[in-house]
Amino acid sequence: MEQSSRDPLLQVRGLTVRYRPEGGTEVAAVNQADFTIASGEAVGLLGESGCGKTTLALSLLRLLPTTICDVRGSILLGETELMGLGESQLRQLRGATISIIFQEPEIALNPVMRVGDQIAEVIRAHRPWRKRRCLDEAGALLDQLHFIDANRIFNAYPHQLSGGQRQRAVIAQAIACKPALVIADEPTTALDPTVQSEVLTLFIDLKERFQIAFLFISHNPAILAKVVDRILVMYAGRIVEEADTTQILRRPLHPYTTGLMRCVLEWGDEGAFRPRRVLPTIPGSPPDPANLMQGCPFEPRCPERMEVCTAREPQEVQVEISQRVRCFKYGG
Amino acid sequence: MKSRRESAVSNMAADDKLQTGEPLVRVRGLCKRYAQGRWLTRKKFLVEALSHVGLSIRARSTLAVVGESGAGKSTLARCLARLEEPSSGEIWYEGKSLLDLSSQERFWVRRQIQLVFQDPTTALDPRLSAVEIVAEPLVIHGEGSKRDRRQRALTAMEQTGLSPQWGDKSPLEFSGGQRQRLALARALVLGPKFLILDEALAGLDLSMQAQMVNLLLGIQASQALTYLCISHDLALVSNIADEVAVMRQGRIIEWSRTSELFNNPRHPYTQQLIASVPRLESTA
Repeated sequence: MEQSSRDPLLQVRGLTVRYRPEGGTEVAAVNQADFTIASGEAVGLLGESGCGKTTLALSLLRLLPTTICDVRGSILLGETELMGLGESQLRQLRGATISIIFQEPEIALNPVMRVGDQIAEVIRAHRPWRKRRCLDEAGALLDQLHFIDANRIFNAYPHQLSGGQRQRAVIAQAIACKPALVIADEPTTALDPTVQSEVLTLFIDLKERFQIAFLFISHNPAILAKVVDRILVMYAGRIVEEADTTQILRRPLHPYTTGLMRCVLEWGDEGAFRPRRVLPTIPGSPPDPANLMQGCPFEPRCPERMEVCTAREPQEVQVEISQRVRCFKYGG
Repeated sequence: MKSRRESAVSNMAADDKLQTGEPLVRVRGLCKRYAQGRWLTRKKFLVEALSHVGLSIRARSTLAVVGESGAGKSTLARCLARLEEPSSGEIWYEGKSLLDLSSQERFWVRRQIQLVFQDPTTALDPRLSAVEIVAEPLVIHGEGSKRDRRQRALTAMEQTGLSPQWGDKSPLEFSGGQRQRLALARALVLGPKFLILDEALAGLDLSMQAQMVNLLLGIQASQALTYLCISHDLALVSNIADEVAVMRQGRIIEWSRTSELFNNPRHPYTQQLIASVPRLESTA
């Protein structure tokens, strides 16, 4: 489905990832995922833990170990089919054309290397430049990311930085080679609220200035609402809804999306502040992908379940030009 | 020096405004200093994690303490649970000073004050079954027969929405939300009066978080509990707390009723905190 008039940058078709745990049965962590990201577009991936968000992200970079994972389908990045590439070709791609930002900057950075060197290292891996030039580029990049004292941070070790500064350093690494696509896996979850909003603003700014496409993963619709143009909702390894951000906020279709939106805690603007109210929830917990029942995977928790829901899985329905959903309510 | 006096003044003013019910816990002038050394040097620096903190919590109410990491929130929680020795100051619980108790009294207080930590995975022993984990406080306090303890543990599990049939499962078989319920069941099994929730909801998904909030509110009403809720999530706090104290750099910079704090934040830092909460614009 093409919502965007811009060129499609990433086209994913029928992506299925199966884990084969030793001695256990196969588990489909991602099931028949189809989606497109246009160049310069920010797309959000929304879902609860265990729904397959991170597996999907890692499979786009082909980072999943082939020994325990079976990845099928097609991942087309520009003109290149990623599924057919060998490890050395993938290494050239990772960091240069497509890169990833993880949740914990503490783990992503090397503790015994200065931040500037770590950023320059990424540039050196992909550009034929001398070390000096790479370091200069890294320094310039830190300046562009609005570091207040870019100089100190350039020469600092990760432990000398605050959580927000570290995450900015990781972001600098990810965009150092001006990739076409950056995947950000819960990049602000580990941060304090004020720092979180700073980093989100930085993402919006980067998208506009560098024309980088983002796949932004989060479990919080309110965070995605701030940064992305379009949202994919994932449940039990399936993409159950896709729509433009404004559209999905105004009129979520899938009962799961509706439930998630209601779970965002808010206080009203017009003094409608109600402490100690009973919160709306989605009853139950996400299913274990290893033993899914027949029918729609959301059926056991769904407030609007029908008879047909237990019989088979709903098909995808294009409800509007920019909105598709997997639910029998809409004829799936 | 000036800022310390200022914060003391604002706390006293807040004291007058807020004290309606009988306080269960009172904290006055609480300080905690850590000596921090640099690697390979003998020089030690004093880091003030808590600086003249004054608070009181009414019985059956919820006080939330919010602030960024490093603000001293967890140090405060650990001092109140007596896991950490404060450098100076006073902590009163039901009119008794917590800092000079006889060993017998200390045992009594430990039953009354329980803690739930942020990460249930590290807080639960993977070698024990769920019911053994919940029953452990009863073992430590020498209560009941083995069968009796098992029964009470299963009841506590049921209270937190866990099926008693899961009693013999390992905690590793539970999901994140269920593990946090298990940690809560363990905290409740001794029948405490005061529960300290140290970022207990931080690692959970939104829908699990909402379920936990409802559960906590229900238990508070039915068992007359008092909560101290440590959190960095203002949206969450707005929903469960009667009063909110904002901490920064070891000090309490603002403390008021929840509605007052959100509708009319005084301190610029509080205003900044409130402005930084991501919101769904369409509902406004």
